[in-house]
Formats: sequence, C-alpha cells, structure tokens
Amino acid sequence: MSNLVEFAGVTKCYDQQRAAVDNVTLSLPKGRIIGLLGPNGSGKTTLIKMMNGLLTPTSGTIRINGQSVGPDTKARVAYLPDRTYLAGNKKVSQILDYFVDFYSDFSRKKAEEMLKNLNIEPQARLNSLSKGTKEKVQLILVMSRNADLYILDEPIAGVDPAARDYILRTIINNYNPEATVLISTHLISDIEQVLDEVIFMRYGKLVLYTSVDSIREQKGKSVDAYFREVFAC
Amino acid sequence: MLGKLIKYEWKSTYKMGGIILLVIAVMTLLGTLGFVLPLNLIMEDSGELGESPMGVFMGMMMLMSMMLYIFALIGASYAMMIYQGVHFYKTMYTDEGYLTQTLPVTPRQLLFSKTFVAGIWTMLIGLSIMVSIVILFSTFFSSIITPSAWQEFEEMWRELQRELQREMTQEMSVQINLSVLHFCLSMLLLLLVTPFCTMMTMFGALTIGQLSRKYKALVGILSYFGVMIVQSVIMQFLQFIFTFGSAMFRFSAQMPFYGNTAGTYDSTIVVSLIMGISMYFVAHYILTKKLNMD
Repeated sequence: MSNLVEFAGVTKCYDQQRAAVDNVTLSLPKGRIIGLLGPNGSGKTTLIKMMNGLLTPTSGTIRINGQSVGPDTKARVAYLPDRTYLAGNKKVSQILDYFVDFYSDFSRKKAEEMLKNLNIEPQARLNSLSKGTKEKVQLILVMSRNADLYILDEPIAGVDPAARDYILRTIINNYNPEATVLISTHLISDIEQVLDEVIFMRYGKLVLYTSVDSIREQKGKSVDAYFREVFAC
Repeated sequence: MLGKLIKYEWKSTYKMGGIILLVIAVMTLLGTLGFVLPLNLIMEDSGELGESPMGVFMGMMMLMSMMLYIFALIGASYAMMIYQGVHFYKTMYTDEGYLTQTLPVTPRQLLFSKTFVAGIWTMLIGLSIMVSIVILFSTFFSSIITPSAWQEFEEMWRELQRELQREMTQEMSVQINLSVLHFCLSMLLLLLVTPFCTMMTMFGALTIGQLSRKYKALVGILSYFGVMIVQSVIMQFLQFIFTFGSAMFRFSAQMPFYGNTAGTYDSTIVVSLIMGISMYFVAHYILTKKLNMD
C-alpha cells in the first residue's frame, strides 16, 4: 500500500532547551483511521500544525502525496484545529460560500444535509451558537470535503457524550474510504472503537506506531488500558 | 484564487471603510455649517470680520469647528490605518489565521490581496479627506468673497499673467510648465503609491512580530514604529539635501521653481516604495520559512 504522508527526521524546537517534536520519521498509509495519542505536551498538535503549514519544521521534511507542504497539499488536506477558526460575525451560509469558493472538493449539499440533521440554521450567525454547536459546524465543514487526508485535532474535547457520539458517527460515515483520517486526542476510550492504527508520542518522540488489533492481540488490552500502562506517571 | 481572496477581503472590510467614509462626509457637512454659519452671521451683523462681541464669539465658534473638523479628519485617517492593522493581524495570526493560513493559496497571494484591498481603502479615505477640504475651503471663500471682490481678483490674475508673459523668456516658460507638470505627477504618484507602501510596511512589521515566541503583537507594533522612525530619518535627510541643495543650485544652474518641492515628494515616494517592497519581501520570507502559529 502506498504511503500518503512521509515524515523524515522532523524536528521542531521552539527554544534551545527542548524539542517539541524530536526527529520523527514515520509513514502513514492511505485508507486508515489513525489515532495520534499522547499526554499533554507530547508534540501531537505541533506535528499536526507542521503537516498543515502552520509551523515550519526546524529540520526534516514532511511530504503529503509526495509533495512538500504548500498550496497543493492544503487543497487535499481537510484540517480541523483545536480551536474555533471561523469569524464569529459570519453566518453559517456565508462560511459555506467561502468553503465552496476555496475548496474544489467541498460538497455544499453534503454540508447542508448535515446541518439540517443537527437542526443548525444556515442563517444563524456563528457567535449566536453554543461552543459545542460551533465545533459541530467546523466538523461538518471539514467532513464535507472529499479530501485525501483528514486531520482532526481534539475533535471531541469539550463536548458532551451525546455530541461525541454524533461527531464520531460523522467521521465514520463521511470520510472518503480511500483517504486517511488522523485523529489527535487523549479521550482514547471514546474513539478507540473507530481506530485502525495508533501512534503514541511522548516528549516529542515517537514511542509506538502499530495497529489497534495488534495491541489487543499481543498485549491482551484495550488501547486505553495499554496507553495508561505506557504513560503511567 | 487571488480574485477570490480579494473578493472576501473586500467583503470583510467594506463595512468599516463605509462607516469611516460616512463619518468624513458628516464631518464635512458639520464643518462647513460650523464654519460658514457663524461667518454669515458676522457678515450680516457688521458686514466684516471685526472685533464686535458677536464677531469674537462667532470667531471662537469657527475656530472650535475648525479644530473639531481637523481632529475628526486626522482621526478618520488613523482609524482606517489601525483597523487595517488589526484586521490583518486578526485574520492572519490569531485563531482566524488557522483558516487563512490553511487555504490552498500561496503566501504571495495572501499578502497581495490584503495589501491591495487595504491600500485601496487608504487611498479612498485620503481622497475623501482631500475632497472634504476642497469643499470646506470653497464654501468658506464663496462666503467671504463678494462678486465685486471676485472680479477684482480676476483682473489682478490677468494682470499678473500679462506681466509674467512680458518678463519671461520662452525657456523660462517651458521650464515652469515642466516643473508644474513634475509637481502634479509627483502628487499623483504620492496619492497612488504611498497608501499601498504604507500598508505593505505595516503588514511586514506585524509579520516580523511572529518571530517572537511570547510577545508577537507587541513586537509587531514596536517593529512598525522602528521602521517608521528609520523611514522618517531617511526622508528628513533627503529633504535636507533637496532643500539646501536646490537653494544652492538655483543660483548657478537655474533650478526649476518647484525643484525642491517636487524633489521632496519624489524622495518620499522612492523611500516609501523601497521600504514597502522590502517589508513585503520580509513578510513573504517569514510566511514561507518561519511561520509559527502558536
């Protein structure tokens, strides 16, 4: 199976004392749902930001679909950050217009269907919506794209359990099966059921990259239980 | 993609731009009324700008109106500039920047679209301020100049022209015409070029702030003031050279009448252009090689 993402010796240092991401070399295949797991400060978000061109690596290279991070890769990567990146004064429908204009793989019809299912009014302004609803709108925008790579940074943090279920269902039902979904979270038990593979990170280093099945078969544990064992304080 | 970026940039700034233009229009109206009404009352009262109690009171009113008007115009100009700076910073380097910076566009397209729209708005505000001043002064002069005084002025002007034609050689006449043309072109370039250069300089300075780990906004603002100080020093130096240099040359080489003034404007344009382009490349380099969105 050909690889979608290639990290080669990727390091990111914010200062001279410690590397936030330390010499990561890794290949991610196509058609997988991969959990990027690790405690706070392990370098998950830094790695994700570098994949999206929001941070420049101190050294090493990242290639997506064989290309360096730039406009071409951004056109094929759907990214959900760990914050609200939409202007609060905009209407949901205006944000849909924006995505239609900039992303050729964005399906307005799909987005409107999902908004309807969640009773989110397209004419509502973003700052009139609750935090959880804003997160759902952002997820809908991301999952309405027919991208090669979906990168979701903490998609279920800060929402109630019912909303978590909806978000996970949305991810499972809407992603392109040929694409890869990379989900960063520390709420492992909630997403374990949907994962094919996991990446464990600690102190910026890659600790483990394996399939969920191999953890269950070889360790006889759930990913959550194994994570607790590996990262025990 | 560039067209789409410009479209959305215009859409997200037109409300504030429109409000500032409206404020200038209202201030022009109020300034004109505050200036012309007291003047008319004085003229009706005594027929001249004398020292009667009414005249003194109305004179004070006029002075206050003029000060308010000037402050409002300066405020409008700075409001637009501050708004453009805040808008750029917000959409590029705060949470909203996570969307802007992950669009499938190049850093060059992003910078160009933002500079273009901000420059257009700055130019529109500058033009509206000029139009406002012209309206105010033409209203003022039409109030104080009676038809007979206007006729006298026209007669004086014609006399002056006849005198100049007698005294001036053909060469001097051509020289003056060229100087006036040079001056007008310099003014036009100043109006067209400097708004974009100012925005490029500001956006570049705000982008320099991104190199700081903790105080990005503060470092961006300080960088802007630093760049402006350097620019002012260079302009002052060039102005000094043109003013004194032209005074010396005029005796020996028949320097054009408008030589030093146009030279000052030329140097302002050139320095703004060099500074703006340099800061554009600095911003482009940081966005391409050093972007750090925390």
